[in-house]
Amino acid sequence: MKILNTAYFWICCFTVIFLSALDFWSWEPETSFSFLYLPTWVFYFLGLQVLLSLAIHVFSRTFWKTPS
Amino acid sequence: MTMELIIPYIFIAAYLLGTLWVGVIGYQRQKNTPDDYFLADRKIGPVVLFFTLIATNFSAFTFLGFSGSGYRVGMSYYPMMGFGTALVALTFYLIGRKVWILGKEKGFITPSELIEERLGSKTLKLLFMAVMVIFTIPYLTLQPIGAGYIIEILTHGQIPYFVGALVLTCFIVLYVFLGGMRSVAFTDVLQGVLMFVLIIIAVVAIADSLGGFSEANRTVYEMKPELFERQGVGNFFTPEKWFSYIILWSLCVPMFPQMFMRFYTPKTPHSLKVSATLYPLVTAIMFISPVLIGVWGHIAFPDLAGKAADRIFPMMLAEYTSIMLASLVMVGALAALMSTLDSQLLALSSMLTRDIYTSHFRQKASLKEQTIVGRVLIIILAIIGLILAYNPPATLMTIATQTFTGLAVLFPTTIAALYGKNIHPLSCIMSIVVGEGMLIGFLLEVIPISWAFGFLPVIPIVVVSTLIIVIGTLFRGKEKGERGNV
Repeated sequence: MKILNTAYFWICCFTVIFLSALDFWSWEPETSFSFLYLPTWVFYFLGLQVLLSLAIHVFSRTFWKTPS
Repeated sequence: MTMELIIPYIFIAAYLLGTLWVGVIGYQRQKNTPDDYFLADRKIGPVVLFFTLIATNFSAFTFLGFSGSGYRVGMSYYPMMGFGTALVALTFYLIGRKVWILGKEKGFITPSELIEERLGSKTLKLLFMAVMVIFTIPYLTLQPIGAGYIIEILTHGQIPYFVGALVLTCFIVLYVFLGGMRSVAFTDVLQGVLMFVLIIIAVVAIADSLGGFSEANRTVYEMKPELFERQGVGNFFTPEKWFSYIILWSLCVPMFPQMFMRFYTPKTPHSLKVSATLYPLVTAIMFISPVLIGVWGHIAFPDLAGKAADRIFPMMLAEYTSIMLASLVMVGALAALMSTLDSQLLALSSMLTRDIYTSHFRQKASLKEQTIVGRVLIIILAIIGLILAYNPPATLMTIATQTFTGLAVLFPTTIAALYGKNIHPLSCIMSIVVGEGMLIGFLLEVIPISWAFGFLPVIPIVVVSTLIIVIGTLFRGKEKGERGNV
């Protein structure tokens, strides 16, 4: 895909991931629990880290050129 | 002596011998040139680079400090450290890629050599080096201090604090002295694997003793629900503070000289790509474990206050696991600490050799002479670390925590050196001087903390440092334009 070779796409992608870590909308006093009786937001951040890793993987295969 | 007392000695001896053996392998492959001694001949592969990056960056603080903070702040400490550190992977591209290319092209060994060549100022080079050295020494001193405490805990006080610190430091000096970066990188693989595996074993074993993960979390929640609040105990995190912490690690971690110099070492950029991809995953797994152990600490030790909480990790191991497992996991903490200290010693010695000795005293120093001087400096730096660790001043911890902000001041200058055009070195010198001045001002409360607008001081400091470079560059551009018109 051509879009994966554009700097703008990756700047947007990593900015969105960074902004997603500023999850002030979910800073509520009531805590909801899920798997292993851990707060849901713990899994939100685990997911974000997996997403970041995947994004870097694609980024390194498409945009990050190896100098000759 | 009972078996219970002998076990820790067996584990420590086995670990140290294993490390020495790996270090000697690095020594046997050495070529005795500065490139080989300080940068492993720039031929590090993906696996070794990945482990050397994580082992260098994750210190004893990952085991002991994270658990203590988990105890005090609660679960929200995990995403702050985990995701904040994961973002550092992006700097492997932003900084690491360019540093690698320039290092290959120009043969740089130290960070300040790159800064001098790109920005054309010897004064800036010295200032950049001085900041890196000054802010790394307190952090380096924390490692023998941690070694002393861990050995003392492991041997039930039979080996006193300073003897433990001395023995461990001598051991590190031995393999760094012999094999340089190659030995450090090889031992980092062993130490990185140990850290990763043992922290997971620790959390699983303690959870098992507490009736499983769900049961442990439920018990703590019923005792102290605020430990699971998103903002942390006592609303520890405000939005401004959260933003500051999330961004802090990306600004300071690549500025650690031992991390910066690792960007010179890969054989190909493929190694950097692999490390960048895996880095967020390893922080996700490694960082949640000590925080969970700290949070669960409230079950057995509900009344720890202040610094006492920093000992929660060994206390939990002693309470819920066998002496054998507890000793083994504490060896993992030793591995974390040793892998940071060896890299710091090597990075600082290479900077002092190349940027001071070779540049100012012996410009015609042979390659062999440079490696000899580097080795002598490793011993001197280790002695300095031990002297400071002998009777650590009360302010040392405060100074060490300011290390991160002090190094983050170098970030704008580094970006300017790598990507900037028409950058005046004076603007970078001013950026660093003003940034460090602001840090001292905040520390001494000459600058009121309210001037940080709720953020950590690192944010206004880096903003001002960046603006100085931007404004300096704009003026320079204008000046050049006017001259051009005349």
